[in-house]
Amino acid sequence: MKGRFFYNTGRITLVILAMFIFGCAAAPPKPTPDKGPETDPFSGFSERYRQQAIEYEKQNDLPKALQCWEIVEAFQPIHEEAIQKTTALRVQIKTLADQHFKKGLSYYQNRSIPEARKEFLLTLYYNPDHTESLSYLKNKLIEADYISYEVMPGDTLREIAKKIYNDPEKDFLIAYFNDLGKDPKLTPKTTLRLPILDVPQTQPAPQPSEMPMDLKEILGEPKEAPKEVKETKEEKMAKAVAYFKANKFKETTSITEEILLSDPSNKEARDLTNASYYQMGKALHEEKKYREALEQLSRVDPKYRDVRKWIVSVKRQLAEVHYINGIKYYTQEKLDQAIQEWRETLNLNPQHPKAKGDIENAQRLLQMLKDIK
Amino acid sequence: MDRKIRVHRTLLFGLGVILLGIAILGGCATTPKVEGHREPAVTPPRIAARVFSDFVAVIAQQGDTFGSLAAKYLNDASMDWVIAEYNTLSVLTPGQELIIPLKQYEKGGLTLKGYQTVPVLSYHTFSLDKSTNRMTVTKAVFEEQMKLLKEKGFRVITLDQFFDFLEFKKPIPKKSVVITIDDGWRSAYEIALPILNQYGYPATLFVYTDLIVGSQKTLSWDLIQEVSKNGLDIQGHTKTHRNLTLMNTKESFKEYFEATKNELSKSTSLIKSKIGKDIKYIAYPDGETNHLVIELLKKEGYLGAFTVKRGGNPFFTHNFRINRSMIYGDFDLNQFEKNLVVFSSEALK
Repeated sequence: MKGRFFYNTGRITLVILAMFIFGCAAAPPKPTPDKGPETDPFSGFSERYRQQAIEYEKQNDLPKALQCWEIVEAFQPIHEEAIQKTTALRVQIKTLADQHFKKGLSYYQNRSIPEARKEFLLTLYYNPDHTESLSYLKNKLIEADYISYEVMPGDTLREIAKKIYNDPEKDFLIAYFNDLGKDPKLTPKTTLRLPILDVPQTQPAPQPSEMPMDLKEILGEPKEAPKEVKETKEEKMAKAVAYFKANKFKETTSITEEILLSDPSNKEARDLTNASYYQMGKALHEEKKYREALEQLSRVDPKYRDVRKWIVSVKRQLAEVHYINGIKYYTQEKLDQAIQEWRETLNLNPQHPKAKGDIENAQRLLQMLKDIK
Repeated sequence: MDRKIRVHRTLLFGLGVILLGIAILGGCATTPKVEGHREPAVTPPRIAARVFSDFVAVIAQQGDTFGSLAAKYLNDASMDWVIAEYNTLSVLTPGQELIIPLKQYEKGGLTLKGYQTVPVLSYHTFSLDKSTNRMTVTKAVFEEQMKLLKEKGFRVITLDQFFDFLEFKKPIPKKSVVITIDDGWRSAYEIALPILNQYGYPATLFVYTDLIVGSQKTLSWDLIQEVSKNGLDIQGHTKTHRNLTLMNTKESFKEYFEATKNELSKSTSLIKSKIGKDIKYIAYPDGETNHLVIELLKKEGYLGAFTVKRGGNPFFTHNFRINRSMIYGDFDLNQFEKNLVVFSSEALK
């Protein structure tokens, strides 16, 4: 009996042990089915931004295209297309910023303020860190509030005040704005800042009993700023036509574009603008200044006369200039610059017979050089 | 004996059942560690962001908002618009792929098609009932106007943000608007401020200090201090509200100059002494200015000034001739909306 008892006890213990050892281990929770190597959740970014970059390039929005290519490159640092595009776009954007800045300066010097503003804006669009352009827009193209005066030998504040304000008694103004004491000794060639004086209008003095009041409360509405005497549109057009007849095309467009700003549907102004840029483009082409010619012709309405043919022709000639530059660089073993030039060639003339092949050769050569290193 | 054995058997059987139960409940319920296995109830953790030097690539997760992502990656939840605008999105859904730019982009709102302009709205007094004074806007109308701003996606920005935009330092939301209230009337505190706070809009109060006498209609310095702590930025509007471009018939030029200087410096120093604030901006009384006044302001250390010439402001606006649009009491919503132009189309190329 005792033996049976122990037999039974042993049997139960064995069952329990078996439960511990095999029971649980026999049915482990199923691991997640193995799907092979885990896919990168960010794998879609690269292609998405590549497509976006191409789209921006089509829209000529180069800074945004560059941003997108940089995203592609960040995800795939050896993405050949992205590397090429970012390199080329950086160069192109810098070149464009420099070109627009130079044009802005030229317009500014010729006092063509609206054109200068446009060029400086374009400079900042391509290069937001272009501080000079920003300075022109913020400080030089706005109405000046002071003049700079260079002190001459023998100058005193009273003499300067007499010269500038026609009133020696206004010497205190010069002293105040230049932190000078009374009767200071002025050093020649020092620059002084002199506020421009508008003739202040007069108003009756307030009565002492008057309480401080908001004038607007009494007047109801703010006063309109005094209106300047302006030329009529017809007078401006007549002036523009005269400039055009005298082959002064810049002056012509300066007037016609101002008219178009307020009256975009003015056909006469539009025609004269087109004709002026067309003439300027052709003249620059004759001087073999193809880039400048292209810029002027690009401003002409594409439907104007045979301007499209001219643009194609100028682009081909400019492409050839870049192609030859590329060869020069190539012979100097400056392969990167050569590639840039040939890319520009292809930008201007995608059908160029040699540029594509030459780029490929240069890239192969560059790769070989890298491999050797 | 048999009874004893039966008792033993029963006890053993019971022990067996208990051990079995423990084995099943305890042993089996404890999940053995299997490589790669996760508790089925917990969402597998995913890499939701990849940080690069110029941007962060993000896959939006459940519960993410533009604000939470901006707080996490731009250290400022109020920069939510940067993420929304960069990715041209208005709503964020889980799984959405995003780029969060870490560098500034489109400063000045400059594109090939034109540039951003910022409308600055100018209010004066508010009333509960309709007023015959054009400068007074009723509470109901003001509420409608603020609601319209919200519904149409405008973002009200502070003067400091606006000047960062003017200085081409930082971009601002594409549909940015500035709200200003002139003079220092009590209704700004009683009527406008609660509505502004309701929408979370910042605004600037340009005060002319002689008006701050704490009468039934005007603010006191205590109230100015209070509104200053509750969302209204206090700035200058001269001492007496004198038109700075006009010289009195009995004044010499020098007296006019000194009086103008006092209008600026005395109001500035009074505000500083009353609420401890440095004044940087001014609204010209009657909106009028001239070269001399502008030069005086620069010399006094002001950073910018506001006219009442209607129109928006691109970044290249003269900092001391900023346009501001008066909002009159008889404006309907259409007229109000006409003052909210945020882009000037001017093909640059």
